[in-house]
Amino acid sequence: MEVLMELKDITKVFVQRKQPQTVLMNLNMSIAKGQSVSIRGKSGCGKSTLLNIIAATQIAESGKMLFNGQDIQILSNKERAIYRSANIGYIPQNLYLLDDRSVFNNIALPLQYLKINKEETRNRVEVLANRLGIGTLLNKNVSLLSGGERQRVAICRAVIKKPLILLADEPTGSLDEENEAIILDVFQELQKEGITIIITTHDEAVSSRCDAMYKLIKGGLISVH
Amino acid sequence: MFRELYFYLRHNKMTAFLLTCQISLYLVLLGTFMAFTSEIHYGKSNLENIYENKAIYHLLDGYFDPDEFSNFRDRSDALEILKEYYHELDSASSFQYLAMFNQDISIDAKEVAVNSYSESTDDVEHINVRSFQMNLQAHDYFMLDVSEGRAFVSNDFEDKNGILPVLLGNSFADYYKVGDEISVSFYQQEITLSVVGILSENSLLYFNGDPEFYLDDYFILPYVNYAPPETEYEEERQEIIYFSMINGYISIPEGDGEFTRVMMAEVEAISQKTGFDNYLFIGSNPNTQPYRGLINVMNANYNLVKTIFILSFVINAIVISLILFFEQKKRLPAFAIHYLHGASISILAKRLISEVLLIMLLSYALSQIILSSVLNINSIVPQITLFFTVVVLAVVVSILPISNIVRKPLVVFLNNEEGSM
Repeated sequence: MEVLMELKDITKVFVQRKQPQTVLMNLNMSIAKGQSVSIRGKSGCGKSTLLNIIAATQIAESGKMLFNGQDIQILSNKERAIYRSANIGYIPQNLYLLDDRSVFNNIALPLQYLKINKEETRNRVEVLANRLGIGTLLNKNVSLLSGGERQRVAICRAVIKKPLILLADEPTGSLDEENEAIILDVFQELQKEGITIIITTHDEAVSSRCDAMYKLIKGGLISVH
Repeated sequence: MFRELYFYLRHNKMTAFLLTCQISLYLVLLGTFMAFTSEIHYGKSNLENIYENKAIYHLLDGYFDPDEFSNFRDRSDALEILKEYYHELDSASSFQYLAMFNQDISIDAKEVAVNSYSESTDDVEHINVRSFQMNLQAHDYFMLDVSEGRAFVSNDFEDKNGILPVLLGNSFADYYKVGDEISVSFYQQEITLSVVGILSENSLLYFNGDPEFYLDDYFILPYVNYAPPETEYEEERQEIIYFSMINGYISIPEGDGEFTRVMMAEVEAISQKTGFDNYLFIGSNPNTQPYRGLINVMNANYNLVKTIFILSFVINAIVISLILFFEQKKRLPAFAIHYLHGASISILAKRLISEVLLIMLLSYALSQIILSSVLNINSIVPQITLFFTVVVLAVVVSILPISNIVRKPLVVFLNNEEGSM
């Protein structure tokens, strides 16, 4: 399979209370285009940090993060923003829907940085929202949504720009089984469309539905079969 | 940018409204304080310019007894004596003679423009208007300046057959213009006043013990050198006018008493030379004490008010900055979401400062409306200073959150386990 992204010898250190803490150490990983990957690990082990490095919202102290052969780590802030805008869809752990706007405007958020026109934006949002079963909620404020609905809005927001990579940080952590199943089905559909999906999770059942499973232990990844 | 500003304002309308009110109030107070300090400084320096190192004495005629007054006027040379006495005083070498008097004039009631400045009178056809007469020395001594037209010049103090130049107090600026002619009755004679200038607002002089006698509501007439009278009526009229002209003020440099002695000797010499021997001074220096007291009160109040306002300004600036800072800090997770979805750091920094600037500029606009429309403070200095204050405050308030955005990875503001590291 075609390699989309490679992480080579990634080391990330945080300083907490003046004490350096190595979260990722010489981490290596290779992800193929259209693959689904799960990363499990204890709380605080560095799963979100790994996603942030892939999303280029954080920079590692050393190592390379190659995307289509280009090291993203050495790009300027502006270039990383363009990389992120064009290629990365991100579902943060606590979703962080913007409560100052409607469901529609939350979903449309990434498109404004791609300068997509109004008509195209409306089209894309409506089609995607209908597909995920939240088409009737578009004019609602996000503070009025249930947990499952919020999760679907966050997914819509992450995939509206048709990214190559979808990063989902604990996407089912706060959902009941029914909603968890719906979300995982959505991910499967997105993967079929060619989107590469990287999920961090505590849940073995979620992890087992991915093509590749890893455990993050002591700053390094171990493949799980 | 505008779309995001709209979302921000719509969602935070109450906070934005309260902040705008607080900052507007703060700017109004600051603007008022600046106008007040500028006014008090102007007033103080104006008074100092006029009175510093000068002593003023009040020179009066001594005809308090009506019989004595009547006897003097019955003399055939009374007018000549008065004229000579006045001219000698006016041209004295050791002092400045300031002839000043406030004799109302009567104006045609049809001149409705001045109604609001008139004093009540039973005469329905004529109304009285406040008027002030002075010689050229008094005019120059108090540095009377005009906002329109011109001030008096020496030629204005010559008799021009019933046409008198007039300077109008600033309150009349909206009613008359330079070049207008106004028919009035002055000391029982119909004359025409020709408007040559409008005095600057708050023009003042020393009169009747008041170092701040404002001329805004007065018609200012020159004391002219009258031509010899042709009728007995005219002679009597001139006598009355000259009596007012010889009751004036004498200004000399402040000193150890030598100036006073020389001045008194010259007044005595003029008295003997002209035959007008019934004169007296009231008080040694009626001006100095009230003037000094006023300056001291001004200084004390100015410093007190300045201290209070500066303290209040600093405390308010800190409180407003903190509120805005914490408001913007609360925005950082939302900014992180924008960042995750493609916004660059520079876009977010611009957005952050524009949110702060918007509230500051709204407050500035509101404060300008209040200052200009309600408090009538239109000076350009507070306007410019407040604008720069607003911009500086906005920048100061934005610097810390922006430095947070630039220095730290924005995702640390998303509250997840590793992000808080």
